Amino acid sequence: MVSIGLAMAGLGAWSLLARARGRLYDWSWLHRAAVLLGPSGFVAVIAGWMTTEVGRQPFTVYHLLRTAQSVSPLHAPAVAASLIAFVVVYFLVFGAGTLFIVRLMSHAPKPGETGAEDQAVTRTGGITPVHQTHGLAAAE
Amino acid sequence: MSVDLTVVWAGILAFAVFAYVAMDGFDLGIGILFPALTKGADRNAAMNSIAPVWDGNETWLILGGGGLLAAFPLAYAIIMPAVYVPVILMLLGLVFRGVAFEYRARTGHPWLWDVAFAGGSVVAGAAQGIILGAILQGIRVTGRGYGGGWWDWLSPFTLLTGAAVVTGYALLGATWLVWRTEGGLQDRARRLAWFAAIGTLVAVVAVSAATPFLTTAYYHRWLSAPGLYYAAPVPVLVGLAGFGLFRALARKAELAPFLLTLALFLLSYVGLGISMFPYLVPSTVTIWQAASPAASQMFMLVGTAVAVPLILAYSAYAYWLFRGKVGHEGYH
Repeated sequence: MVSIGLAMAGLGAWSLLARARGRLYDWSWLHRAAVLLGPSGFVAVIAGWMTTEVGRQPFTVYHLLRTAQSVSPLHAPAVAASLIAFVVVYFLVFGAGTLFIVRLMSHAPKPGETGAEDQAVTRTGGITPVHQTHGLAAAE
Repeated sequence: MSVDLTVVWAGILAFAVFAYVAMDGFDLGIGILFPALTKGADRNAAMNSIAPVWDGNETWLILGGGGLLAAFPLAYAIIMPAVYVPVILMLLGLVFRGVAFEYRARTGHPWLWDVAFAGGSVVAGAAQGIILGAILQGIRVTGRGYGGGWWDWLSPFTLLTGAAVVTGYALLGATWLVWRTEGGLQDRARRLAWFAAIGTLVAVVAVSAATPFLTTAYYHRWLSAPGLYYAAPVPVLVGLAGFGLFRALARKAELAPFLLTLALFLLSYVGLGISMFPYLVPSTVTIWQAASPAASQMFMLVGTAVAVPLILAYSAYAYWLFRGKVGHEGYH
């Protein structure tokens, strides 16, 4: 997790250097490194979480409260069912997200492409733009 | 100290929960109504009307849950295992409807995310109603913990409260659309509001009629003196608000139906307070018994006193920025 963080900061520094030299858009090794670091954010988050959760065992509150003392009075099937439900839902949602990201990455940017922000209306996350009403299928 | 911190925290929690119900209520309502809206432009406009504010609205759920844990840990420890299944269902429902906002416009299969949006909203609303009903009908306590099984929350009464909340949210969503849209979509929303209003009032009457018979404490508070004198104005006001709502829909008012629906929710919430106060777990744990140490409550109060006005300020700014009617291309 720490090394991924350093790699991210390194990539940032590298791209600053590239920008200063005017090579940000055509330093192909930089672009390869950027693609390689694409999933690093997800990996770092999960690795960090596991370090915390595994690292503090057998305590919930370090040296004060043991995990065995802090469990809720829940029946095992309840915990098992919810765990399975979360695993299934996360695979569905992250699967769809991964599919979407991979599809985005499969199209190379066109040279001289301008940004997508040519609409005059205020944009915010989750707004459905008119031209995307029929989704990617229509755009392709 | 003259100010009772515990009462202050009960007030903060009550405020957070109502803010959540009022605000996430109308955007969950849009999801509940989604199958009744025409595919394409109408559904897009309905979704766009809540896109800038829905995730801000869910902030209050975090304050409600986090505040309960921090200020009333004993109540949290008893209530959460008791309603574990509906809480998990609610969270999973919120996952689906939340990602639907982002994925819907970006796929070749928008219908799939329409189903996720509508299904997630119905499940989340129903689960919230069931949680409410499960707390109201009482929780089995052993010692200082939950003493029941993992299906105790399921009863005819909780199914009734679940259906009531879904219907009420649908009414909030429909009246929000009457306010924020125009043309064919507004007409459709107004017709849906009629049905949802009738359903909501029937549900309010049914839940109110069933509640006093859950425990003798509720019965005495609602149906015998002196509780009767405090409680009596609530049903009268509910009747007036319901009458006003139908009048407002009939004369094609735009904002009034939404405000009157909020009034209905507030009155039902006050009624709930009359039944519950000062208990967090009915007839077992009061707010004072559940309270965390005064030092903890004071520490958190300082943070809350800074954060809540900030959240209110930026939320108000967001609502102001995205005021007015939503067109088919988002906000103008």
